[in-house]
Amino acid sequence: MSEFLVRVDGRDVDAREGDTVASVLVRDGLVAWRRTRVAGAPRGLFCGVGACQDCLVTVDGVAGVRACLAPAVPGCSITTSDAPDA
Amino acid sequence: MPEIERASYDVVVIGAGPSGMAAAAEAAVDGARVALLDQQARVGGAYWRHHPSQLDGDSAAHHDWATFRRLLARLDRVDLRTEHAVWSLERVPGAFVVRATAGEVARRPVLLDTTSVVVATGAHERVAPFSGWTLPGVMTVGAGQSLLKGTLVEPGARVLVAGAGPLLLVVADGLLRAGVDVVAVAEASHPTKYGLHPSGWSGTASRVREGASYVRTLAAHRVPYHAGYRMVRAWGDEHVEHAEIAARRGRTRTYAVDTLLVSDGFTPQLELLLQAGARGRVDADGSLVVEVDVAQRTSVPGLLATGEVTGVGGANLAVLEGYVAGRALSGRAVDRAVHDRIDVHRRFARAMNAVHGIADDVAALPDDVMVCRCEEVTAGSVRAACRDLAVDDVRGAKLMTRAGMGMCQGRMCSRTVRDLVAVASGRPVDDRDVAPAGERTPAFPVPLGNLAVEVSEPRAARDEAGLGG
Amino acid sequence: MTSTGGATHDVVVVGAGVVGAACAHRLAEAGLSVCVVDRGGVASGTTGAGEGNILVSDKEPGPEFDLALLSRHLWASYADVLPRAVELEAKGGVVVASTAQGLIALQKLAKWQRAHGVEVVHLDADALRELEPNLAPGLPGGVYYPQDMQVQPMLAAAHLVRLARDRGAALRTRTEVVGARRTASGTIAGVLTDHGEIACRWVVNAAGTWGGEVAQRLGAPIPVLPRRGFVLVTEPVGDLVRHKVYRADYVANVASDDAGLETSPVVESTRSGTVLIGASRERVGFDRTTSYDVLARLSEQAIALFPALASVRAQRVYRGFRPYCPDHLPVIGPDARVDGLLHACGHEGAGVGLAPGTAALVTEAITGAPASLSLDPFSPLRFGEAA
Repeated sequence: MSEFLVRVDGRDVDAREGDTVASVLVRDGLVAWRRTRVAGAPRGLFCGVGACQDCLVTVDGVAGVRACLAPAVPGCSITTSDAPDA
Repeated sequence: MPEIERASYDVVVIGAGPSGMAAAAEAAVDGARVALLDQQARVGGAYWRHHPSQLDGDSAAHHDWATFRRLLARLDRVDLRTEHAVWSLERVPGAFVVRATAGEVARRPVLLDTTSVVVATGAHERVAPFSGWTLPGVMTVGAGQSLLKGTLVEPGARVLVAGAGPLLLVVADGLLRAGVDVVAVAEASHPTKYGLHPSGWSGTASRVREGASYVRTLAAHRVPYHAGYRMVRAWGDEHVEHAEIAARRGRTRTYAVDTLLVSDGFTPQLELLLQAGARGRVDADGSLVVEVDVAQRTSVPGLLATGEVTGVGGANLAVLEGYVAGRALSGRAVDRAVHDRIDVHRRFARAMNAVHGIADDVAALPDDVMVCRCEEVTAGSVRAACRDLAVDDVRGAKLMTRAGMGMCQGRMCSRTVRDLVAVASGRPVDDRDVAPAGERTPAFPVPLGNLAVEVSEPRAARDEAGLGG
Repeated sequence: MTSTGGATHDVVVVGAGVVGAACAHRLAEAGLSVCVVDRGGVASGTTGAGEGNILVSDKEPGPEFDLALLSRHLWASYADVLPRAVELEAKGGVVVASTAQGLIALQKLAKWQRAHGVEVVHLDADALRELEPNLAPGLPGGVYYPQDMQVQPMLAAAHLVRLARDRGAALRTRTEVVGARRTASGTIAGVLTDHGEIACRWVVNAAGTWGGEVAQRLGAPIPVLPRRGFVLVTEPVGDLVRHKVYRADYVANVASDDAGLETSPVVESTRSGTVLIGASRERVGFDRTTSYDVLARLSEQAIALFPALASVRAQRVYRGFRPYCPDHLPVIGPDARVDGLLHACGHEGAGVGLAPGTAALVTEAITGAPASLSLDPFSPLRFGEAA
């Protein structure tokens, strides 16, 4: 199976064919990658099928990407957020 | 401004899970132009979630893999559009317009014209809220399955599986085979109740064998199976570290975990059907499903529906319904035996629902438990709105507390809020309120630029070009 | 469904939207016994689809302008009794001209408004960008109205009802008015509903877009018709938009008699970080079908004002039906055709803003206090044969 690199918050991270952005982050040891607007509470993967809108992450500068659906693409740049949503 | 990609088809199938694949495969005969759309990167839905490396050859980790391979092969005549998130299904005179964004990152606008549509959008999982359910590491059973089967990534190292329904055993089995430490499985209902519904079991002997094999796997790995235990709370610092389950009569157990997989049934995804005006009804499990006739036709001519959106009933039933729909669209008869099989599966589904369909005990939810994840609204806020602001329905709760106004548009919370309001206000749920609560336009967030770009090609020009609508 | 147990009230207010709620509150404060009736719940009608605008900026010379000033003043005083949860704030409105000609017309209106008590701040291109940094370049200028306010309309209505109930008012939801009981001389004696009769001396028709229907049932028809509008709600976008911002041709659209589609960009931020995008007006009866043509135009116009919106996502679309009368003025005050009947509806897209002023006029008419404004322009009898 082919392997490649993606960037997560400026770090090179291993990824594989078939990965979603979410699986890359989970394999890298992350369970949360954004914070809620009101309480600043950490959120990551929840429903896994694009319904809950919790797993949102920025990919290649595009905000609000559902990590559970977006395929990991070689060289893509994933940016997590530690600040509460706008 | 982006450029719209336009295309015309005879049939558009929305959702490439088991029923969508079957519908598309059957519809694509005699040169009919068929498109099959899914927001995922690969077909198969949840049931046939797989890693691309598993496409060739058998896979012990998958059910009915031969059926999947066979359907996949037949899709070569179909225009497969993966990573297409359909946000609108518009009914126009004699036709339909399907609007999608292509690419979760690229978000390109796509507009399809067609005369027939099959909506096979399946269901997402429901989780009954409990204290701590919003902690990272707490996710649905389906999310855990998606990681495991779709990407070969383990959701965690120490996992508790809890909730209601046969999927708990399936995921626990898969996790154990992958070498993950499953600390326990907590099933909220009592599966021994299956015996009370013999009509549900006829013709499903393989199901019985399957269930028994999962229980054996659990026993072999010495994984406790707690029947009649529900999730009470989860806690931890920034992610889940402990989970507590409790039996009806109060006995509790606590486990140290890093992952909690939970599932309390399914909510069919009806947004597109409601947008197009199809009639729904409230199913026995309280969820809204679409009405269909024996040929899977909805109340809207040219619009068919298959799979979980017609009533949660599992993948085998879904494939049969997709087959029926596809045959109907290509003008071919369906063998009586197929309809008989469908009836058998529906009976089994009803039996399953009777066993696993437990009513949430919303009255017991502590005030500080969050019910709306997106807007961070607690059960207490909803109750206060009922008490102080005369809220007595889901719509009122949404307007007054923001529950359901967030990005998921109430998918995760509206069922809970509905039940909570009914208890707190004393006004029972009115079935007529259920469909409006399920209306979502757009079905998924869509860039304003994608909406705006349609101004440059007004409807009149499309009519002239013979593109319909 | 809340109930009164069949007691008699001084006033029945039909409609628990923002206008009915304001009336009920004011009447209860004045010591009257009030019963609010709605066939749905609180804010089930147009108030539930409102953006919560309290504007003086978009009012041209005329009776509505006077009512808007009165009402805005009263809204400010409501801040003392309404909780913070209703999000009442003097956010301010920025009206943008897209052409030099448009700017001249806008400045002329603003000059008249200032002479009549409205605070206005003229903005050249630079000042405009300072207030709203994300506006498209090339706009010649505009006017800033610091007095424009915004409120969360459903919560405002619900809290006004609550305050009225604290003063003894009753609320009967899920109760539909089907007629009136009148004495031999024709005076109102009660309203008939699908859950029994409620005896009363006065009835206030605050049924919004259904005010025409209710008026008919009470024996005094008025021509209130629906004018559909769509609103797009975006995902949270932080500070992209700071105020309520709209293009100067909005005022003309409101006053238009055109039966076709009128759209003019209105973009405003909310407390929760989302942006609301409007405004469209169509006469299509009560048709709830989503119009993608309208959504396309609204989006295009909003992007023309704020280019960054092109990649911002709409997460929700909703529609509402504004109640309008042929001359674009509301119907307020006693109806001589039925003694005891008053109207308080037909506010088009300004129901939230005009609610407290309307409540004051209605209360004055019932209690006999001196009227804050002449009711003549709002009279239900002004339609002649058109009613």
